[in-house]
Amino acid sequence: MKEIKAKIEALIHCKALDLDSLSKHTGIAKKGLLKNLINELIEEYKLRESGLKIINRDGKYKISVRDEHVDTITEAARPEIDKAVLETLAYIAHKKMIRQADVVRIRSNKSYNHIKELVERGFIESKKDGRSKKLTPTRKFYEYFKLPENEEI
Amino acid sequence: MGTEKIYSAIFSDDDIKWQSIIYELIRSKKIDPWDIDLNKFSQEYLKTIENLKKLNFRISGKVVFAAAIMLKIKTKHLGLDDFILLSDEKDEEVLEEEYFDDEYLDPDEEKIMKLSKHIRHNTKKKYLIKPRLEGPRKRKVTVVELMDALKKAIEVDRRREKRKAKAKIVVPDKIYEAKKDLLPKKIVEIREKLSKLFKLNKREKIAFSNLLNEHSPKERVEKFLPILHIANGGEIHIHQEKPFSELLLEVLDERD
Repeated sequence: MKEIKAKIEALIHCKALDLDSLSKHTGIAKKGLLKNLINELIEEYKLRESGLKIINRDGKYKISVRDEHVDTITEAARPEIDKAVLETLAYIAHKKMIRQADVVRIRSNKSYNHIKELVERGFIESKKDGRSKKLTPTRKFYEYFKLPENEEI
Repeated sequence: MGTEKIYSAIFSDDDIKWQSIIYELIRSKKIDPWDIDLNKFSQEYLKTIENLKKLNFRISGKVVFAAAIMLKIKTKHLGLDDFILLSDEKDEEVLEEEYFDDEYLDPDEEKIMKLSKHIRHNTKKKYLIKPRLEGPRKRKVTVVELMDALKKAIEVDRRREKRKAKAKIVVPDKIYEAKKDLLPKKIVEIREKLSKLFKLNKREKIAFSNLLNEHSPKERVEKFLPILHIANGGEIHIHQEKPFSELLLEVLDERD
């Protein structure tokens, strides 16, 4: 069991993986067993007051830095959202609801790619609105930045 | 023996016994097989092929085989063999056996393979590649960073609005309309001046600069515009010997 747990730890250190992927990579078919082992790992991280934690985001497990240490690693690690993409996200969140055409007018053509990435990552929602699209921040956005949903930014 | 000599020995020999040449050079330690520039080797080969009068596939086959062996030796030696798909499935011995199954192979090739093994064993430490270190991991974005990004995005928005407002102040169409009203008067003036100068100049071509007083860019434009209108009406011809040289005006009606 120790060896399987170590394998799971190594895998979720590399990338966020769901139980199906973990099953495929470890060769363990029993997902219940995998889940138990992950829960054990989570407890072990808590017990030894590690700087890391195991998070479950949308069914995918990943090793992440504990919130209280995020400031410590700001300089050493790159943010997971690029600067320009983050500016586009901030602008959309500030407007709460904005037409894609208006975002592109303000943030240039490059924002088409930013919007695509943000939709794929679940930070914004895109709904058809005539010839353009309406963009709104999602619940994931508010959860990620620990902001209440009605918060004005 | 320098690298240039090796290439010429390989490619200029009529019999193209490249195996024996390399074998001898390695054995006599005249070349470092790890310093053979495979790219240059291939370029030289292409040049040789271009110079050949008739196709000889045995030569091209041999040279491609030589390059492949050298690349394989280098790759294995440098510990990069994970990048070769075949290496994942078959070990070196099997691959070598496959090489030697070819009925056209020269016995020298066997010597080269044995020698390459020996060299690889002796110099492995020198070229050992350490496993690549993991790149920096990405971290979560903080609210502070989100707010900074918002400030920047709003700033860009404001700058754009300012630029737009600035652009609205200048309305080129209105300026053009105002100037357009003055144009007929200017045309009459220039036409009269041209006619006068044409007579004075004994019906020779008139230089455009003769119409100018201040020679300022503004004056040039002001006088050139009526000239274009007059030329368009077929009253004058405009000549220019070469670009940016003096414009010569020829009054057609007066001459006819």
